[in-house]
Amino acid sequence: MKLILRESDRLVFRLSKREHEALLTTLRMSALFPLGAQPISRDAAAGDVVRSAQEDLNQALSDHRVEQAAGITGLLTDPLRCACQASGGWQLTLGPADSDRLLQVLNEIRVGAWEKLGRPDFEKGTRPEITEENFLCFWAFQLTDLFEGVLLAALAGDPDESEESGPPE
Amino acid sequence: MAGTIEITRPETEKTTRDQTRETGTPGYLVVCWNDPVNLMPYVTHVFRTVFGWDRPVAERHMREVHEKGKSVLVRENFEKAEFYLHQLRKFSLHVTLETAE
Repeated sequence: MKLILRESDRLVFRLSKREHEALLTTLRMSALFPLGAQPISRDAAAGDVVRSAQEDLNQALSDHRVEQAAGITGLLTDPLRCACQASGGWQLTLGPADSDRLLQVLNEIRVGAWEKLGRPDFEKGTRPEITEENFLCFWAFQLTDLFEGVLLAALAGDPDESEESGPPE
Repeated sequence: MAGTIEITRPETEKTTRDQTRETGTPGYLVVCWNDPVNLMPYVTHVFRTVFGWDRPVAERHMREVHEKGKSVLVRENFEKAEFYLHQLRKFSLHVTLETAE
């Protein structure tokens, strides 16, 4: 996945056929990871006001997830934004809202996969044992790392990590 | 006058939330906690997106989260704090709402 054009209101990426398939497969895994029930506060003495906001938060996140899934489906099925090229590759054109939506969904999958892997701390050298059961989680974790990295570098304007030399196709 | 009904508003106990709304007291902290899953550039990007911070400010908070385990992002009244919490949770960051001392 390479950034081939950056303009103020859009980013254009080129994906190989395999990268496109990997992106679709990764995004489809969203359904495998239910939303985590993270408490709204760590303060045991938090008042009723804070605790009562938990239900609102859970509902808002659930609704948001449905909206994001619909948005991603719309993005990937819109031939103006996700177009098959004669070469067999794909061109993905993201507006600002698309970029954030894709980042959010990829990261949600990343967090879900990480939780299913037992919340390993890779930075501290913790490595989960890869099994047939969790192999797809590990795969999704790695793939989201790749796609998020490219997207973030493009959004940050870091040419070293995201751009490819040469003219756009 | 025919058809006029006098309505009496029931007295209700004011909650902290009501008082906060009225006074705007910034008594709630939005705290971001360190975790080993979210990428550092991702966290910086989310802070910039949600709060509109410049990159150095966003990076300072991101580093504080990474190095000290947490960072207080904002101190606000309940409504604003809750709003920011929702926005940050949409990006799957580990954030909580705490009451200020």
